[in-house]
Parts: sequence; structure tokens; C-alpha cells
Amino acid sequence: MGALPLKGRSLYIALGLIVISLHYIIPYSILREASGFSLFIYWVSLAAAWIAITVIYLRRWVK
Amino acid sequence: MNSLQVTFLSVLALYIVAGTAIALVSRKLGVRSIKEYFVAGHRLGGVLSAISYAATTYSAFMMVGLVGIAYATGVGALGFELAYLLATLLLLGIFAENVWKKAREKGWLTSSQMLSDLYNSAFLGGLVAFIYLFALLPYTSAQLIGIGSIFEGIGAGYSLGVGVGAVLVLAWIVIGGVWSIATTDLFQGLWMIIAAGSFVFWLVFFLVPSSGVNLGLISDALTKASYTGVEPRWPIHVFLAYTIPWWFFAVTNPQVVRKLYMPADEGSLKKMIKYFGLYGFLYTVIVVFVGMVAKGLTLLGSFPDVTNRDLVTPILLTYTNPVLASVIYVSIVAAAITTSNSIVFSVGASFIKDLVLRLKRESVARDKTIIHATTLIVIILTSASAAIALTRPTFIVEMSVLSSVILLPLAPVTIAAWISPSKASSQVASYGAIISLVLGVGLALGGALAVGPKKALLWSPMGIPLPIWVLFLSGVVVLITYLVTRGD
Repeated sequence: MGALPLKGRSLYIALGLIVISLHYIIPYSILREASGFSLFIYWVSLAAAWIAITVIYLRRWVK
Repeated sequence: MNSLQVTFLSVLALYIVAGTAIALVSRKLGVRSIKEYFVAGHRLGGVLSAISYAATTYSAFMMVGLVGIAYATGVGALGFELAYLLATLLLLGIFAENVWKKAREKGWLTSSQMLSDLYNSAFLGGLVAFIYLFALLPYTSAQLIGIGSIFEGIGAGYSLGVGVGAVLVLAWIVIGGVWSIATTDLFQGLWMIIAAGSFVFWLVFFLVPSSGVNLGLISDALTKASYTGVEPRWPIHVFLAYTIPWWFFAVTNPQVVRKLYMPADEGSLKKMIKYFGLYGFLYTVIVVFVGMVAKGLTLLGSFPDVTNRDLVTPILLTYTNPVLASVIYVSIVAAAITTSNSIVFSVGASFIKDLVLRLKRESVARDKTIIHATTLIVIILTSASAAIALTRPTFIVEMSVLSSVILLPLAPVTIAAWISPSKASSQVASYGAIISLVLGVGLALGGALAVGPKKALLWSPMGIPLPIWVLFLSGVVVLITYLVTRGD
């Protein structure tokens, strides 16, 4: 599939699945009854991290 | 007319004139061949592709529906919308490059044509075109309802709003096909994000201090009333039912799948994904934050208790000056137009290319014939959407999300073909794809019939939400056929 080495793509997929899992698991366990904007900040940080990972992945993908 | 009505109509007129001028200029870029008309000749730049993708994705639902959900249910609204963004970036990161390359090689103009080609089945293409038509007509109507509601809130008349929306949708498609859609999307997408930024700036630095409160007090009030956690307003089955249909939006909705065919080169495709991610992130965070702050103000007695959640934004805007309110109202109109015209155009193109022409067995129709036929179907679809909007059925959110549930069976069918095109082209796989779509769409519609469209999304037979059942059923059928199929 495409030009990217399989290893890079597999790592990206694995990270993506971890990030999506964390998007669900933490709010329904540790932050179930979060106070203030802590859950808001958690979700914002997770999404920002995923965007950063995607940008890095894309930079390596296109030479 | 009051000052808000005069200002709104003036800003709206400015927006219409600017958008139409942009559409007319874009026409010079070329609309004579179907490749130019439908996919911009595969030569859209990165920024244009990105903002067009974002503006098409983020509809009137954001500023009307999502602000309302955040107001009514708290922080869960952020998780709901960001789940879409995370999943979309993952799917684009995995598949966009390959789909972009294949679209150029194979000359794909529509996503139903793509599936028809991958599965080597003309019938499948026609079936998919029909599903698009059936599922996305309510989605388009929901956008026109959004525009009508804005006009109504300002006192300019609901029907007039629906009419203006329908005319703009039509005009900015017909003028230059995808070129006028993409260039007006850029203009409108920038308007949307600037308006959203101005909205939150005004809220935090003007409305909150002038109400004698601060963000700390708002945070405390939200915590006390349980708006800062997922419980009790977002139990896990509700969260899953809302988020799962959106995970696959990027592969099931033709208006965004087709965007993958258009970037000029790999660099433009990369920019499209990157800038779309940043845009979606900012827009989502702003919109949810606005809804939560409004709820905090209500809890502190500085803002009325709004029972109809779709009215939170309009009521908030009565507190600002007419110019800012009008810019934000027009940004909602823009969000509705950018989503609607891409949907209507994509559905119309699929309907003509993969249903009508195939039924007529005109495989080599002239470009002009296809463009004229698409224009005709676009007029019919827009008129039908406007007619539905005038009857004002159910809430915007439920209507939009239900469309995604009906399209959900396309997710396994599409992803499987992208992963293994050699297996997809076998007869068994094409039969499997057809069965998967019929069963999945049938189940989604069965749920809507059994409990009503509004409740169908949260309907949970045996404790499992309907979208998961739909995805499971269609996914299992596709999986079985792929397992028994031998690839080349």
C-alpha cells in the first residue's frame, strides 16, 4: 500500500488505535466525574498530540 | 426593521456578492470537461483542498447543534466531536495517499464509481448512488433548516432563509462545478473560523466579565452541576452511539471521499490532511467551549435557561453588538452552504454517472450531456431538500447523525476494497458487498421505523446501540466474503 514503509504505517496505525482507546477509556475510568476543565483539557491535549503525530508521520511520508 | 435585521441583511449581501464573484472568477479555471467539473482536473492546491475539506465537513450543526449539545450535556460534547477528528486523521493517514493515486489512474469522478470499479460491479455503483440519495437528502435539509432558523430568530422569516440557502447552494454549484465549490469553500471556511474566534473572544473578554463572573466561577458551577465529566449525561452506550457513526464519516460520505481525488500532488494532499486537522481542532474546541461557558453563565444566573438547545447560539448573540452577531450568523449560513453544496453535487454526480447513465446503458455519454444532467439533478435535489426543510422535521443533530448511521455499512465495504483491491474485484466479494449494504442499511432503516428516527440512534437491542449492530452486521458479511475469496 503506497510508498511509505510498512513499519512506519504500522506504527502510525498502532499509535492511532492507542490514542482512540485512550479517548474513551480515561474519561470513563479516571476522569469519570472530573472537576473543572480537567476532562476538557485531557481531550484537547490528546487531540493535539494526535495531530502532532499525524503531522510528523506525513512529513516523513512525503519526501 | 430593527438594527440587527438591517446589519444582518447587509453582511449577508456582502457575503453573497463576494462569494458569487469568487465563483464567477473560478469558472475561468475550467468547467468544460467532466474531469474539471467534477474533480477540478486533479489540480487543487493544498490550502484550497484543506479548507474545502474542513468547510464541507463542519456544517451548521457545529455553531447551532454542537453549541447546544455542549450547553445541555457538558464536556461530553467535546469528546463526541473530537472522536470524529481523531478517527478521520487516522483513516486519512492510512488510506488517503493510495486513494488519491488510484483516483488519478482510474479516472474516478465519484465515490460510487470508485466502489463500482473496485468491486467490478455496475450494480453496486448504482446501489451506492441510491443509498447516498436516500441518506443525504435529510442531511442537506438539516442544513437548510439551520439557515431558516437563523432568519427566523432574527425576524427575517424562516421560509425566506430556506429559500436563500437553496438558491446559494444551487448557484455556487452551477457556476463552476467543483471549482466554484472549492473556491467559495475557502472564502466561507475562513469566514467560519474567524467568526468562531471572534465569538469566543467576545464571550471570554466581554460577556463573562460584564456579567460579574469569571472562568473560575464558571468552572466551579459546571463542576457542581456535573457538566465537567461524562457522567451522568453521557453514559457509555450514548457516547458510543453518537461517536461510532462519525468515526467512519471520511470513508462513507461521498462529499468528503471525493475530496481525496482532487489535490494537485502529494504535497497538496499532505497539506490537506494537516491543515484540515488543525482547522477541525480549533473549530471544535471553540464551539464546545462557547456552549459550556454559556451553561456556566446560566448556572450563575447571568444567562437565561435555554430549554431548546438549538437556540443557545441565537440567544447568546442577542447579547452582542449587531455587527458581530451578523458576522457569526452569516458564518452559520456559510457552514450550511459549504456542506450542502458539496453533498448535493456529490449525490447528483453519483446519481447521474452511476445510476441514470448505467440504466440507460450510456457508458460513453458526452461530457456536456453529463454536466447538463448533473445540473438538472442538482436543481431537483436542492428543491426537494428545501421542501423537506419547510416542514421542519425533528432536531438537526438527530437528523445529521441518522444519515451517518444509514451510510455506516459503506465503511467495511469501502475499507475492505481499499485494503485488498484484488479480492474486491472478485464476483463473490461484489455479491458480499451488495448483501452487506442491503442488510446494514435495512437494519438502520428498520431501527428508524421501529422506534422513530429520533430515538433510533440510541436504541440498544440487547444493550448494544444500533450503530454498532449496523457496523457489526455489514462488517461480518464483508469479512466472510473476503475470507472465502482468493485474491490475484
